[in-house]
Amino acid sequence: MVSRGNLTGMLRRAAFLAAVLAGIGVAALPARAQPAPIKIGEWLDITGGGATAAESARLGIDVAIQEINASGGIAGRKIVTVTADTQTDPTVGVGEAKRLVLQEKVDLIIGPVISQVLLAALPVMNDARIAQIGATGSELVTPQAAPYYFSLLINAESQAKAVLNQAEQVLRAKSGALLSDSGAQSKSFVEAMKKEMAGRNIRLTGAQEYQYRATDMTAQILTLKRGNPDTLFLFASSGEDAGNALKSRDELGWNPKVTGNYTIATFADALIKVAGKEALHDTTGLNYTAFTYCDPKQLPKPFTDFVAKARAFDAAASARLSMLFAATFYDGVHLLKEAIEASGGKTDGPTVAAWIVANGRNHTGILGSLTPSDTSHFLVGAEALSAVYPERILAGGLQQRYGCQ
Amino acid sequence: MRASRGPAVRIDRATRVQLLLGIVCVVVSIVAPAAVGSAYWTHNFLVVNLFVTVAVLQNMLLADAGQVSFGQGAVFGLSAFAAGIVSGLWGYSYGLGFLAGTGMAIVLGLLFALPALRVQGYYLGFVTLSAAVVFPELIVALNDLTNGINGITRAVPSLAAPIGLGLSWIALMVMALAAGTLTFHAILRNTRLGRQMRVAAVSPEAAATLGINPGMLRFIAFTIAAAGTGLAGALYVPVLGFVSPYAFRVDLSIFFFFSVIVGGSGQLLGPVIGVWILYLVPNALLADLATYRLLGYGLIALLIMLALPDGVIGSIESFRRSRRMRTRIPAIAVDRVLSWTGARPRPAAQAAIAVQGARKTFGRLAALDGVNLQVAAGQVHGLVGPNGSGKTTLLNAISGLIPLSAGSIAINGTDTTRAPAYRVARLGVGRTFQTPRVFEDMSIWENLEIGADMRGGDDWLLRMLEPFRADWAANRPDLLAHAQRRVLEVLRTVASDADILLLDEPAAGLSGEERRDFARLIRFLRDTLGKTIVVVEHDLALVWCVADRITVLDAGAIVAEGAPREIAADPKVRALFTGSADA
Amino acid sequence: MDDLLVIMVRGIGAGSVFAMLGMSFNVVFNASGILNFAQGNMLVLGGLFAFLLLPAQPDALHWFMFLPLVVGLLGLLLAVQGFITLLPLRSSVEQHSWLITTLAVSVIIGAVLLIYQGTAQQTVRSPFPAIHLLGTRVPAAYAICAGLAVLWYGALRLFHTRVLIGLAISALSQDLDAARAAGLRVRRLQVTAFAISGLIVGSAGYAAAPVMAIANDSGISYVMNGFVAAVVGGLGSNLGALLGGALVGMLSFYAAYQYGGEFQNAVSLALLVVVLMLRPQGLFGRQAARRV
Repeated sequence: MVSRGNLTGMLRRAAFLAAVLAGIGVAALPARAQPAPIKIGEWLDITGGGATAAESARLGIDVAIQEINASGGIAGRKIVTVTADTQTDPTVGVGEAKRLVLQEKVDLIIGPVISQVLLAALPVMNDARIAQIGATGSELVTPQAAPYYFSLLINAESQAKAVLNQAEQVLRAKSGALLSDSGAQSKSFVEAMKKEMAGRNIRLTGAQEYQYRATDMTAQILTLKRGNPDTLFLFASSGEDAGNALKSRDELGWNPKVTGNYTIATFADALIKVAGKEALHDTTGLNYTAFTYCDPKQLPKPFTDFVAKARAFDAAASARLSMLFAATFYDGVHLLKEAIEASGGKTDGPTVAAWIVANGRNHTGILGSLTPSDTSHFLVGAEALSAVYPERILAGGLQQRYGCQ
Repeated sequence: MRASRGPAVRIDRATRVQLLLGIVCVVVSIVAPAAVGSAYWTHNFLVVNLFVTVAVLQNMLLADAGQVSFGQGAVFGLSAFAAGIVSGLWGYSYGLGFLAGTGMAIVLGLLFALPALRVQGYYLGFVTLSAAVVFPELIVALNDLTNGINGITRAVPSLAAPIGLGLSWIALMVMALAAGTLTFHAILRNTRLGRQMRVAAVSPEAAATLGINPGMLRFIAFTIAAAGTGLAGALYVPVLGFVSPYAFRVDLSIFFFFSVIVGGSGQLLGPVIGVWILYLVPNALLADLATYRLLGYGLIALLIMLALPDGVIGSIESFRRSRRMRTRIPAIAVDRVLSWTGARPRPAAQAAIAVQGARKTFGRLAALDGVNLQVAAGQVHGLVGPNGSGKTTLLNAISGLIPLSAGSIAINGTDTTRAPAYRVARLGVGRTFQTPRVFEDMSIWENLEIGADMRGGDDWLLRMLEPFRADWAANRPDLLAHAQRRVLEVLRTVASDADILLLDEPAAGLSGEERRDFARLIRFLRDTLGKTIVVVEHDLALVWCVADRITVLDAGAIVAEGAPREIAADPKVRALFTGSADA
Repeated sequence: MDDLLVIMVRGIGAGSVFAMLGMSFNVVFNASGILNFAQGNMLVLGGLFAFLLLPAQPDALHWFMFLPLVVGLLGLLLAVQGFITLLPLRSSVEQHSWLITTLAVSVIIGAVLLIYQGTAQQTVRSPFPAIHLLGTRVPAAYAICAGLAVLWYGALRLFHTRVLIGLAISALSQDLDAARAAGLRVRRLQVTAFAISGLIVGSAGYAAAPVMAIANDSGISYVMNGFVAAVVGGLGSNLGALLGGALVGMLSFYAAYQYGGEFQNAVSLALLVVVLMLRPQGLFGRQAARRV
């Protein structure tokens, strides 16, 4: 997935480095091109802990950009992209942010998927007043801290609410145990769950952690089993981890109802590959309602259209990656396009952000109506989520809502 | 660092050149992007120069002090976090955070030095690596104190604001730190402390016999490295404006170690080049390649090590050295030493060494079995006996290198039975080894200097040899003939001003002529300098002609003792050596 | 009590993989003084080959058919890696270059996996039925790995005491210079040792594939645990690695069960530090640690 322009970019930077080496400070930065295409920085966590999500995100972004360019670009300007890998490391992330903003002078930024990388680079983004859409879950990223940034991810708090709604109102559970990986997103989720449970009528019987990429969670599950909870809350960061957790539960012959988070649904393909459909009994996950169905004859068309486009774009990657995650980023690019075109072609952060806050509700993409506000730049809230049967999955990842037949 | 003697520390030419190049790299890499106004490169090179600082100290730790640490990233990260917590979360000034960060780094450095007393080499590496692996997890776990995964935002606008030429205070501070650390390293290598570190790294035993406490030097080395790394870590806060556990994963520690090796371990400029290659090539030049970046990183590291096994600078340096034509092989001028006529005070006529009932067992084997030995001051005392009779064990016990199982040892009336080797050495006991402990990575002159480093007083020997200094300082001992290496080792102990010299088979491998010279040297040491000398020797002829008294050992026990003539007449001794020597 | 038994059995199963990694380190370490940091990703490659060769629902016949192929492939790969690693070393290990070259090979394998399969984790199904234990099922792969680890221990013992090449390789571990002086072809023997370590790690990866994370970034955790197993047991001692692996496996499972999964990593590292401090040569080690 090496885009064009990589080589020239590389050579140019090599030339600059050579200049510094020689002690000659020559400004070798070429001026921006004349009919000014819109430059989008793909500032993603392509390697390291955030890689799984970032890879899916990239597919959605690339599909959207190809489509938009084919139909004349944004406000008549073609899109070119510059890719930057944060390596899921804030030190590198800030450097790459500076490269995109100050060196490449990008107009818009898409990414990242890891909150810590974003938090580190906020001063750079805010100074440059860059409009940005990513998928981070941290609640520290408030409109005050990041006025021009929006997140496509459902934050930890919203996920916790939706998970508990399902457990409390549908399953009538009185107690629950928490199983999660030791990653950053999971820690925020566990925090949010504990806070949310305190105010509800569900007792926490135990909490356990496993390392990312663990394959045997039996020790953890046996600990949780001792608390004899009505339901097991599962928060995983990858489908494979979730699959291994369910497989471990199955091998131990313990069958509590599992109320899973967004990953359990979104990465159901990978999950099933690991654990098999049979291990998914009594398990629900969360998904954007936009990616669900009730009647198999009435599927959400915007999503199925996207899946078709993604397959045409890169069949191999589409088969491997989370279409749902890709679709949210696809929608994110389109949202930026709408905002810019409605603002007379202006791409600056304040203009774009103001438009998104004012008009997000009227968005008609795959995600449907969005709920950003002056106090929260999370585009999707708890109300946009539904509990689903992860194994009742159609091509592309559409899942049946809980309670539907 | 304080110079050990003379007004200025002399830095050898190769080091001077590398230091100059290193400082140019640091200064230009910070000034040029700022002057051009490239914020991206300014930022990148600030980070790079912070890393250079850490890598230079890692180089000092590895190549000079011989300590393998895979945990310097944790020291760096701890400092950054402490600075972030104090100045960001607790709301104190950045100055206070800076001090807290550096202080915490030193504490961790001291903690790293503790296992170094117990294990060395890659085992020490594993211990420190464990710390580096656990560090970010610990930061996350101590959520309440560290803000955990959310990290700490702390900008220091007053330091980041430009003050002219596009430079900011923080840029100047990073520049000063990196250049200062390089300079410090260059100077350290040419001080007494630096030489002692290198000796202790190569051979802790030989170092101890030169009065050096290897454990103490490890502590000092870890502390220095931690202090400098801590300064860099504390500066990380204003450079990034954000501290997160993600930034200090184990990869960072490995990166510092890699940089030293790829650049050339032990070369002053090595870490600078190593960091430039390993940080800038993948992160700046290959950044667009995204998923291919890691592949590029791996290939570059692999190819460099295959093509340049000593690292970039190390390989250039050894190529340069091999190209230099040698016009003349240096020689150790014994005659000049022997011409010394300065008066030395005669020692008091008492027992210089008194060994009582010494027993040393290895498992069931008794290497020493109740040995009593009195060595009179100002005498040459020969110690002879067949192989395995316990001669070297006795020398080792006197030197403090091995503890006795039973019995006691006194040096000049001071009990040293339980004293460690470096303390025995400081009582004036010098030592040579069967295979000469000549330090190959140091110049011939430095090999002498580490002897002189021990003493406080007048360096008559070095002053005397001053005419040879330039020649010896420019050459390494690998050029010396075998006999000359032995002489060098003896001269080193003489330079250390030891009153008592323990010579372990000093004549082994010498030709007839060289032996005669050696005998002259020993007599000179006794007669002119008033030294007490214990000679363990197989060459009985040599012993018989220089020794005042001879002790004969067999199977860990004393068979005979007396003047050479008495010993030669002793039938027990004759039986022992029949057919094996010309006694 | 039942819980504990289940955990211990699984801990030993998972630990057997660490034990085999530990033994594969030992073989190379004894012959050359090199610690091969790429071994973790080589193990992952063994698993990946199982994924590529075996059908989605494999039967025992297929499994046994491809076993020698994967084992041989890894043996070959390690021989090549060994040859490359030994190139820059003039005599033994006076430099640190092997550290970089072995880690670089590890990085390259991870990078190739990333390019090939992204961050996905491959899954291999076992052709053998799970073992029933106190109402739970234990994957057959654990039992196979435990058996293989013991098998390799026995095979290496015979090899080092009965087979000529094995004896020669043992001689290298005693005294490299003496071995060279005695006319042994040191370089060739060292490459052979690398190849043997490849056979061990290939069989381990192949057998453990159903219980392993076959992904671009999972090698590092295997390499760490394998090292802990080898060092705790005593570098160079295969008995040490065998027992060290089981110990590390059981301890990390027990820690997860009793104190929480967040301690799984920390506990094996703590074990490493404690053993090194109290008994630097490891539980079954011969030489003093400071000599290395």
